[in-house]
Amino acid sequence: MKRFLKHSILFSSLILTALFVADYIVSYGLRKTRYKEYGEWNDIYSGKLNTNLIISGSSRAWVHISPQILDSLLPTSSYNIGIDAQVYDIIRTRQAVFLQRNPLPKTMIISLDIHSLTKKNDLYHYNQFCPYFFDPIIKESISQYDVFSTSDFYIPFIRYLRSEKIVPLGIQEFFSIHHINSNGRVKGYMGNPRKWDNSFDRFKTKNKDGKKFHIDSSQYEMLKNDIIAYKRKGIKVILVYTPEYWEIEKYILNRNEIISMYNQIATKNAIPFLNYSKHAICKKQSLFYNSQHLNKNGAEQFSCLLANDLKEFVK
Amino acid sequence: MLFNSISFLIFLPIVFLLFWVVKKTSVRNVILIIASYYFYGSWDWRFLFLIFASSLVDFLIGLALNNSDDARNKKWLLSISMIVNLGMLGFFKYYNFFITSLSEGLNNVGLELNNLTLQIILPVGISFYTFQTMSYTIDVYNNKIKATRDPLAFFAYVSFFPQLVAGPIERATHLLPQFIQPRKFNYSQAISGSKLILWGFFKKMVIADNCAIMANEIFNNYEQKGSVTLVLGAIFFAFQIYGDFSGYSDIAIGVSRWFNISLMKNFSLPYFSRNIGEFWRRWHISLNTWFRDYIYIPLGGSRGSQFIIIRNILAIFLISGLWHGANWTYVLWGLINALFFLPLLLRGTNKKHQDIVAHNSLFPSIKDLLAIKTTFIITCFAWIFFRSPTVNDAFRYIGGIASFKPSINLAQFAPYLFGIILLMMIEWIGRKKDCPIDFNSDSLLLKYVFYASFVFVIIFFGATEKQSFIYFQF
Repeated sequence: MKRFLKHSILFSSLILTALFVADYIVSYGLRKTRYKEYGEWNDIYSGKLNTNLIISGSSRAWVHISPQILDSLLPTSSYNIGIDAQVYDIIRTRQAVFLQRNPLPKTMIISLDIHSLTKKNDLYHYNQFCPYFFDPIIKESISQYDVFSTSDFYIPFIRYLRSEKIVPLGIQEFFSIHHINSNGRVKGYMGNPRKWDNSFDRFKTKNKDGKKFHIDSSQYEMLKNDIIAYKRKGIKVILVYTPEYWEIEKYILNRNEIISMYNQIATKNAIPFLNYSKHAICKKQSLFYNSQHLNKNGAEQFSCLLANDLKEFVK
Repeated sequence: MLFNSISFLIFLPIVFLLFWVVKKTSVRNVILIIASYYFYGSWDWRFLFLIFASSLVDFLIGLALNNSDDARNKKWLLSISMIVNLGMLGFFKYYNFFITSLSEGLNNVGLELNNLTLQIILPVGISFYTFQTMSYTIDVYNNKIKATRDPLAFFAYVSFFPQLVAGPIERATHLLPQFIQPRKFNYSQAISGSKLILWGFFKKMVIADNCAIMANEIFNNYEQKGSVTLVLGAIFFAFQIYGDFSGYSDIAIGVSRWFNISLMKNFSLPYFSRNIGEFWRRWHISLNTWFRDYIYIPLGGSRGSQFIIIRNILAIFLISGLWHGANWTYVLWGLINALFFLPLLLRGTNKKHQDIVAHNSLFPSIKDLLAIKTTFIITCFAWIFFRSPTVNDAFRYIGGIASFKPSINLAQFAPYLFGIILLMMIEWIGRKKDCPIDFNSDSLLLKYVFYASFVFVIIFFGATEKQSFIYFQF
């Protein structure tokens, strides 16, 4: 019995050690790369982002607000921590990691939209979380999603098995065989030069009678509590509803209700709410690539507009 | 609780240590019963009462049979056991099937039957443990075994967790005494068990779960696929079901060996069979020998007129089909196998090929190779019925193959076919061993490296989407 236990423990230790080593190599490599989302996560985790203003939100923050333009028009230095295709629980995870690792900013813009407070089951680009998987903030947040299994949380390296492409990338980065040093983003922002596509037409065909977005109470509570907490820390919070193509208004049945809810949150907490949902920019289809996203040209025009409106708050 | 889950990874060492820490057989049986009920209850605790009821009824009937000398009384007791066990199985597994079939039959003659189907959940493993308890009562009735007076041993025998939900279906004559006798830890058994567990995981996670991706894609969209793709779909399913079920059996046998409990072999290289008779001696051995001993032989077996022989063969194959599921596709699968088996039986060649192919040589003869290929084609043909959701779908699938429609993307299938070839090569090389990956070397380091590499193959090439074990549904 003792002999069997000895071999079992030795053999399991050998396997676990090898998995730990593989995990270390891939995670360390991915912490060096600037490939896609890893670039911004690595910036945030590096703790060197000494900025006065951060822009937080989903892709509608990420592709809409250029920190370079804000910096050129305002007496500030900014960084965009917008994260593609996520709702508020993940957006706040990014905020939390930023605030824990970097000097506190003076101002935080929270970009909100019709999806922000809804509940999602899938975790878009889940492998972006793998290198920092065991950070308690990340772990707690992503464990709410069904993407990762129990073994991902308890056995090293297992979480990488679903992401065939990133394992070689991590290995190459670790051994400095190949280094990706740019993901095309500037201070977290990425202008998208695409022209108007047909996705909105498909949306209209699919939702002829319109669509309602269900507000999740836990997301709503998180937003409310975070605003209070940030204010306590001395961070000035500004809510922004960035432009969306005007025709969408007809198809989102509770759009006004959602926007007025954001307005109420702002009023209750005495913080500004910059609402561009009905701005003239929304009418210009040439500035969008789909109903929810401005293209590079549109984003840069909007960033100038926003900078101008921020002047009274960012001094 | 799945074998390939983190919960089982924690559960097994705890049960293993608790089992060997205590010395008394009765306490060990209590540990196994609690562990087994927990293992089963983690799926659905509501159905624990069925295992308990089935165990209790057969335990008491066993005792009553032992105490009775009256033949009529004994028959009554046996009937009660059959009614309880088959009643449970019939209700949970076949009620809706028979009601729907009856209703469709009556509709065809212009009669109408109101919708009497019920929302019934099929309890996992019911077909396995009911057969196991029934075999005990039948064996006691036939004086093959004395009824046990040890309820703990009996309850442990029925619920023993490694084989509770998907077999092997054990006989009381073989398994029950193992729960009564005091047992000692056996190092070589535990090591051979560990190798079997590893091999089982390879078959399940690398072969079956990967083949499942392709088989599901092809069978779910068969109308858009070309002929060669459809043929490959049947082959992928053949290896999915083999890897899945034999993998589960190997893990069950391996885990049992950790407790120094021996379970019967359930699969013995079935895809190297040279005729369908040999295939059925090598595929799901515990179920097929059950049918042989408790249905085929009591019906007269291969003794009697040709009519009797044909009737008996059809009976066991059709029942075997129905045992797999309440659907006409399974019945037809059984019938096809019976039709390929009958000529062998009638010609007296069904018992040919008792040894594994190329027993005394490295490679098979051309004749054997052709025979293996033919048997495999027949098996795959029958699997199409087993896998298809309806009989119509099965015929349309076969029609798709016969249409000789081109279009195939071989590159898409290449890694999966490579996996199958690898499995067959390992099985061929290790065909005379208890476990094909039994690696003999004097160097402990070499052994460690070999088995660790195997673990990494499972980790890296195992399908990331976990599939449930197919036979749980039966």
